[in-house]
Amino acid sequence: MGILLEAKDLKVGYRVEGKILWAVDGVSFQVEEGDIVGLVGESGCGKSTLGISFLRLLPPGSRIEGSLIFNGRDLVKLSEEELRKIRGKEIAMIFQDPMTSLNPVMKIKDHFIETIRTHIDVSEEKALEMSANVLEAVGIPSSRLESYAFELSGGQRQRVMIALALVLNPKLLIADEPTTSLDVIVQAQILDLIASVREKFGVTIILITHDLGVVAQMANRIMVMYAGEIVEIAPTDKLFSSPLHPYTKALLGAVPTIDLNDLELHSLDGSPPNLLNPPRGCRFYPRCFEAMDICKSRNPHVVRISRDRYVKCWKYR
Amino acid sequence: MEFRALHSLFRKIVKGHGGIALLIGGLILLVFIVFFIFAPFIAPYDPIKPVGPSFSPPTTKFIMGTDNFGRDVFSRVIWGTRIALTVAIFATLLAAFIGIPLGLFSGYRGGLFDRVLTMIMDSIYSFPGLILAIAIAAMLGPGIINISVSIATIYVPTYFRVVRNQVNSIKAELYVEAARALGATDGVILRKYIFRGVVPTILVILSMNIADAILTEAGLSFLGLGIPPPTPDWGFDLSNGQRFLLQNSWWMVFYPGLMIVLITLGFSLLGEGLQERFNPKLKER
Repeated sequence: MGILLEAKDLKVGYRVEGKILWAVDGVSFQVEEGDIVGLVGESGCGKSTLGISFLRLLPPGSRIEGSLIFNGRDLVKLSEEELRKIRGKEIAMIFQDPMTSLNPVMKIKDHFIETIRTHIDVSEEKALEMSANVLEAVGIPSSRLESYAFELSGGQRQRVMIALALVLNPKLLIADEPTTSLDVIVQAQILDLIASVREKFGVTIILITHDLGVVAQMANRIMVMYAGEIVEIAPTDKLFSSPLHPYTKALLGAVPTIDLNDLELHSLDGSPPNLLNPPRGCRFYPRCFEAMDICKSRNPHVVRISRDRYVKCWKYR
Repeated sequence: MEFRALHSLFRKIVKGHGGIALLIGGLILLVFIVFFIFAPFIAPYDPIKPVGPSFSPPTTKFIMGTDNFGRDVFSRVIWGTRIALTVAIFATLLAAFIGIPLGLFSGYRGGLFDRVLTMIMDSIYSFPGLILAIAIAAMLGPGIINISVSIATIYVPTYFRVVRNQVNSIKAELYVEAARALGATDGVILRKYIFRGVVPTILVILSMNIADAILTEAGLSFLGLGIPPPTPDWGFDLSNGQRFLLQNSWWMVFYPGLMIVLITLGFSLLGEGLQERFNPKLKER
């Protein structure tokens, strides 16, 4: 399997009060073809910013630096027009809230026709045929093409969004909290669907979530983000069985389990640092229970532990 | 103003989703459209020539009486529909064609352009409408085109503000970002996502504005800044007739006034009905 996406020292910043806030501050990683990569972290850690930067859907006035090589092209350097051709065609995205991701005054079929004909030159009939096929594949009857968004339930809308994202057979699908606003049963169905479309459509998926249960079930690799940095990358089973970074350990400790020997829920004191004025040393240092002297003054480098494990912590120097 | 009182009375009678308002408004307007198209066949006399004695009260021969020149008031009132509707619709459309694109562009782009344009529009908007129209009409001189342009000027900010504010709220919607994530161009987003969301509101304002434009046109003509005589015009006939009110020639004022009230009522009802139909928030009441 080749490498589909490779970030090198990627930085994404917003202009705040005349300064630049680096919401994503120098991350490097690789995504292999066929992966389902889980990107986890708490609110405000920069995971959504990283998510939209794969499509460079950044608000005006924001900055992006470093490189983001997708299929041999650097997304950071592409023009707006070149990016537009990639969006939806090669990289697609589904969002957190399916209730508002569809245009209320357009029929479902118009969303499809619009998206298809933006990218490829086909007749309306052909576009409709493609739409019907992909809709059926996500479990929505093609008769729904004539519906408006308000006639569908939340789960159905998310299925439609997934179909819309997949209709042009993109290589990469970014799913930003795709199940957060759905109830638990529908959540499970949508996750199953996402897992099944990976096989059916051969798409690589980056799943952004704060729900460790979701990534445990779905992802084969997990990237843990904290305060704009990726602190640990590991295969899912290894991350859960032997977490390396103290933050990962704390995250796992804060998840309720049904293990009777471990009834206590560990919470993590304190809050993430202000990114407008990041601390000089390790960003996790003030909350870390394994902190050492060096952590206070110098930010650790990323250390490669094994072929597919990386951690950003002084303990593993 | 009479039509406002009538208007709120109707609001109390008409509940539901604006069905009755649409019906009554539509019927009234239908009658006026018939007047507009078939004026030469409906009007019994030439509206600009003396056809009988001066100051004749309503009789079977002159059902709405005659004016000081012996012209038939009924014929003038029917023909007056043409001027009123032409000016009002032309002015409103002109205002919409300028205001809507400006609002779309300004709201979508934002930035300095948006701030400057908003400031200009707000200053026009804060100026009393009729006075601004008088100033512009006085500058341009009388005539159908000129009076339409001066009326249009007052309404441009209405469209601009409404469209711009809607664009601002729609452009922050997730579905617009989702469309962009699927590769939609700016043109498509503006046309299919933003403009379409604004259309219901625009329809309502159009209808309401035509009603207002008829009043403004009548006002300008009343003040002698409208259509030059002897063209039949309700506003002009009102000002002509009010000079003879003291000698009890009430019909010269009553019938043109009645027409103005009825046609504004028609458009207001239509606008109200459209609003109830298209605005889901109002349906909750």
